[in-house]
Amino acid sequence: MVFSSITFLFYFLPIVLLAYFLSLPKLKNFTLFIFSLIFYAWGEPLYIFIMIFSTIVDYIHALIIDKYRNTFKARIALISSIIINLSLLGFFKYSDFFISIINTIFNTNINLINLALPIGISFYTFQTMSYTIDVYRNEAKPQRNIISLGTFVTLFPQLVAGPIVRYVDISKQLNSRTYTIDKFYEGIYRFIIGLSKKVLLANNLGIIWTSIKNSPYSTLSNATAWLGIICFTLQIYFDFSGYSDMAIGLGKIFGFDFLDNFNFPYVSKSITEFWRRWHISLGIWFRDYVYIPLGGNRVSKLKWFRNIFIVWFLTGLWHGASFNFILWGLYFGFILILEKLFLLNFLNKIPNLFKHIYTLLLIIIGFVIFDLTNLEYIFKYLNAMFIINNNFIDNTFIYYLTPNITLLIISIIASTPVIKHILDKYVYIRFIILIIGFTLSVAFLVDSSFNPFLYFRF
Amino acid sequence: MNNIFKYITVIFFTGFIFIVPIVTLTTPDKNVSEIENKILTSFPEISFESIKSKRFMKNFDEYTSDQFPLRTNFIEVKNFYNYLLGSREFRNIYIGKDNKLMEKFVFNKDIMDKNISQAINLSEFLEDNYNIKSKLAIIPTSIAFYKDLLPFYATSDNQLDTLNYINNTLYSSSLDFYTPYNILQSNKEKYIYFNTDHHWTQLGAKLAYEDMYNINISDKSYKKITDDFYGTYYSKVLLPQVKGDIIYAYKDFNNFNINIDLSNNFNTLYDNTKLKGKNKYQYFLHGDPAIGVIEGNKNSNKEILVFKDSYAHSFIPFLTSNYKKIHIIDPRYYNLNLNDYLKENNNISEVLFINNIQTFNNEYLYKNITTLI
Repeated sequence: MVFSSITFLFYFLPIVLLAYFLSLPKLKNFTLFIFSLIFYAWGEPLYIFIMIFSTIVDYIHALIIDKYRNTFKARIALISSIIINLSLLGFFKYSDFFISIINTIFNTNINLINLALPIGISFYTFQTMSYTIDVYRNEAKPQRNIISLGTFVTLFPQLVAGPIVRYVDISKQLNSRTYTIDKFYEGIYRFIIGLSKKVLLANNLGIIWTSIKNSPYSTLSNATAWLGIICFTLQIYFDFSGYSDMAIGLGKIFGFDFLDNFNFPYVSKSITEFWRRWHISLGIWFRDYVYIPLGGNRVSKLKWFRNIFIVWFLTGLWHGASFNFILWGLYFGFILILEKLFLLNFLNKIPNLFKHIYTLLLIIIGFVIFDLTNLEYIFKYLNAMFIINNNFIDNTFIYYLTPNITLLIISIIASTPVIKHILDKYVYIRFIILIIGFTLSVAFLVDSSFNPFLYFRF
Repeated sequence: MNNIFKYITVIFFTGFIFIVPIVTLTTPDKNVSEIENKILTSFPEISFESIKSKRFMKNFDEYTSDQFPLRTNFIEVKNFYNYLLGSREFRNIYIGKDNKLMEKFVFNKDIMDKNISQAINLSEFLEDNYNIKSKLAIIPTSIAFYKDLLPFYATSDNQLDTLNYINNTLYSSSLDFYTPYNILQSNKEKYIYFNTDHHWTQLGAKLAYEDMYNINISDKSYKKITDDFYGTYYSKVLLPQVKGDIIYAYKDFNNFNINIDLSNNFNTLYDNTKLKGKNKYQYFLHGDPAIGVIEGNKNSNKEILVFKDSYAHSFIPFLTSNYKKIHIIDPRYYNLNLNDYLKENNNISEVLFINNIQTFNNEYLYKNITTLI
């Protein structure tokens, strides 16, 4: 199920709210657990068993780790847990990619498995791994109540697309949460903002991008190519951050406090800063569970670069079983190394305007690599953006731009903190925006011919 | 004060999400949305099998949006918001100056060539085996004549170019070509096309008929039949500010016998019962006959076979002046063995292929017609 659907908003949500707040405090986690399974089963009923399996495996492993703390057995249990989690992820997400690589290299003809990807598997396997690792590091106590652990793993607000919640950040809330009308209101506020970002901005920007993306690149004018990828750049931000907002808002309604996942990434003045503001929970996860354990930057320069390289290779691969995602990760890894070596020093000396141009340019080019899964298309699209052989501007550009110019201006403003400041400051403006935003979003969902969700395939 | 805004927001949100399902589940399901031209999904059956196959989930998702309370109003809100933001194209329908609706035309060479070559093949068959002359008539749609009302950035292929393309392709074939482009162009200030529908009005059809047959028809019997006609373009656009169309008809061409789909007989060509529904254009020729026979002018001894789409429904009544019998066939909906049909009706001496340019450009028209002997 997705949040931006009539079924979720008007059937699942009222029922789960009613059931949750009527449940006795002791049973609230159980209620959430059951409804999270229903939420998940809506997309693929069979796959809930993977999640339940994952929960049981990590429940047992954590207890073993705790019992044999500081011994060899604890270490074995940790490794076993990580192997099981990564195998699940690897099997369901990467086996076909792996097989196709083998087929290409060795000229073999092994059949692809063609499994549907269990929704959110990239997110919840990372969460379950964080649990056993946190327990191993003694940063969190093992959860003795399997329902509470199940609630952590399956929690429907962030199940599908994050934020990736580390167990340490949420362990206390699993057993004691507070509910106030203010928190409930904050949750609704955040939820409606997220829904509006997704439905009113991202979906409509997506229509433009899909249309440009599917036209032949050899005849694209430079301006159209830029318009298309700028639309995608805005679309993916509103899509993903909108989903995170909805998740955080729903979390608040049920008494949880999740950490923010986005912090206006497009106002960044460097790629280093961009990655501190974009998909924050994933960055933190890789930092805590990969980068720092490898030694971080407190090692020789060569090893440091190796660490960055590994982290960004994995970040790319995490986004999808395809070469373009790996390329996309390495692209950023490379830029980050350059920034650390000398670019940041240089950037500090130039005016802010140039820092923004530099950063946005690299982000936008990055999204060409991100969204065009075929290397040939990536090359051709970049060609259309930069080569002067194409027309600079043409009627197609005017055709796409004119009716959408208001949408683009609103989207660009909304990707900066301006609107958030206004909404936070003026309660009555916020009130009007929330009422209109929700009504309009519902109107769009009632007639939803175009409602993709980008982070579904991860 | 701030708290009041908060409480209203909370009440609005929770009220909204609780009331909608209650209203949906307690009101009877609607089967069709006439205004949208859409069949609506009803509450799906629940079974282990339907859940396992996810059919239940899919249908439930459709059910919840199809049966949403005030569904059409919400869609109008959506479209009006898009209109306010600057959108002037809704599902291939442009909304131009003065709320003029026009369908975008994109030349489709593959389908066009296929239709042309099949029409030529049929005409050669007719000529060689039955000595029957045939003609292809292609009618432009409204966007051909009102480009000046379109948004300045609108793209739509030139229909005159397409008509010339067809004409040139037919050159030296046994198939004659006719298009009412010029006569419609010189009468474009008149009400020759509906605004909210893809069809021409009967005035447009009459002008074409006069031009084609060199006959003059008096406008005396051209009477208003109904207003508030919201046609197919409107179904796609669904904008509250667009006004309905008026239907006029030449009443002199009403009292003829017609047999439709080999079963129903009527003694009029126009059908008042269709005016109660949403698709009021069905007034002409009782809806969308796949096959029909009209008893026309008893003093004539000629018979004609017309391969048509719905554009011809307002045109065909005029043919009653020229022919004793008019055989009509929609090649998309009727599987015809042309050879058998001509043997049974051996007075047919002319064949007319008549379509609007969009149908000719978008659908494989003659795949159900065989000429097996």
